[in-house]
Amino acid sequence: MIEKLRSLSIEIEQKNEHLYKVSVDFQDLESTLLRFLNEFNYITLDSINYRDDIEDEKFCITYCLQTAKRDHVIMIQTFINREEATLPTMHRIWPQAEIMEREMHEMLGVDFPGHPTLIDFALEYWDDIPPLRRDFDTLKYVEGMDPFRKNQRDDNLDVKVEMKRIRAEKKAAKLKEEEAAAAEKENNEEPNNG
Amino acid sequence: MDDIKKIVKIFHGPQHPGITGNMSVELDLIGETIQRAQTHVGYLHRGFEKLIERRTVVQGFTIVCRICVPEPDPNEENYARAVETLAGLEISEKAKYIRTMVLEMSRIAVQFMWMGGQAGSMGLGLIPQWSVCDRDYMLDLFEELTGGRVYHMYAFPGGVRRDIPEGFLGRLSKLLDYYEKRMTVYDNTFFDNTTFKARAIGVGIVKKEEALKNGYVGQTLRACGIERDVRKDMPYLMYDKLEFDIPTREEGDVYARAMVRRDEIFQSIRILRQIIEQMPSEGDILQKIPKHRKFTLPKNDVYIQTESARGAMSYYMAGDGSEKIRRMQVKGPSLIHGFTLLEKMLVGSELADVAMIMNSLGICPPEIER
Repeated sequence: MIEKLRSLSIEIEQKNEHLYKVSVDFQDLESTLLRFLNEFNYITLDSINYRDDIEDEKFCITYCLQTAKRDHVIMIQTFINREEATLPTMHRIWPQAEIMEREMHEMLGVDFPGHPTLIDFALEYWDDIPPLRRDFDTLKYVEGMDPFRKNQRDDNLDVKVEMKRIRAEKKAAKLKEEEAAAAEKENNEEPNNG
Repeated sequence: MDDIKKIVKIFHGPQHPGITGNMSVELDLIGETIQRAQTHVGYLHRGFEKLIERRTVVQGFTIVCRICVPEPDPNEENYARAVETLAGLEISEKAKYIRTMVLEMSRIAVQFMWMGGQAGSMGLGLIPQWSVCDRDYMLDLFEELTGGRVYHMYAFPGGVRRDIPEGFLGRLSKLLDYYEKRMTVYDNTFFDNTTFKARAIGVGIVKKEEALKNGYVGQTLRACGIERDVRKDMPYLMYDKLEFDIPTREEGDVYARAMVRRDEIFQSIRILRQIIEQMPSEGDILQKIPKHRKFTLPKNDVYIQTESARGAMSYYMAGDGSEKIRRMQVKGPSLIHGFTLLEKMLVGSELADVAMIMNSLGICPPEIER
């Protein structure tokens, strides 16, 4: 199958023995997926993977397809803009895409026009930044949502400051010990002098 | 008559003995027959994928085993193999054998656990008491090998964390003998049980033509006659050197899935016996890996699959040149089975069959929510 794809001058990157990648422009995504399904018999949509490349202001979306033999995986990868992130819904072709897209909508904030059920997936009434975006700060969120941790956790200490304080305390204790030892020594020596 | 046709809505779970974990199925019923089913998750969302982004490669390793409680080992294997692929680490033959052994031991333990759940879901109370006890013998061996009974944290990027203890393979062999004999008892009391057959045959049928396209995996696929298994189709570790068959059935119902699982226990025993014979006595168990803070992954991505006891489990992993993982996405069998398949399959079923059908699909809610 891979040889057939190569003969049709489709650029394929071989990642390992069973894994191949095809990079496509966002505009060609839907037609490429349909072509792989109808012409090359990649009938199974195994997963839709996503990541936030915040430095490039892009989301990287990867569709993993398999043939009926399931002896290799082909990754169809595209990049979309972070702002106004929209993708075509594939749920009419692959029913399993419905739940995958619903998850991506909640976790990454991607819109799927025409999707029938873009409702809550695992989160309830979420109105913050979608949590799997890189600019969502988990620690800040956790500290903010807990009424007992509004002013940070009691044990939330700056390690550097703490280390400095402990070192200073140790130094002071050592100095005090040395002074006490010196004073004791002086006291012991005094009767002999008399 | 109008009263009888009134739709009643009930929630099957999250607090219910017949649910396979912390999830809920919203059911619309007319009488005892389900008209509509909708899966709800979110009771166990711990944000594993987000947590991984904040941790180093070594720290992430302690999180992945918690993604599916009864079955941590395929998660560890996927994580380790994805990191190794990205970092270009090659592991020794001995480490590969040990990891294969752990995966097969885990498969047997999971099938015994499933047997308890499946039998319990139809009121056969004795089987769970036996099978959970029998699973414990395997957990004893896991404890001896890895230090942990449930979460093992054993398959580490670069190999495994510890060598096999002295006499371990002998004890494993003895346990396999016991399991083989014990399966006769389970055949008599569970797999050939009239109640089980009456309840499970012809219920929860998966059609062959939709199974492949919709991305069903594991026993759901094999019980409708499709011989697909990642261990054979895309061999990893030592599976290409080991002889085993892929059990299949044609009926596609709950009983067929149960029988496939039963046959898989025997195949796992067969694989483990070969491993015991072939296990190299010498060899590194863990490759030299960079120090904790210097263990960086290049800017690249990879997609890894492992055949868990419930079907193919996939990990997408991307590195960005730093010591932290840019993205790790988990896709287990439960996502599609728990939504796409279950919601459709339950329509037209009887209320009493919900727990039985759910159990037969191997749904693990923490794997859906991650």
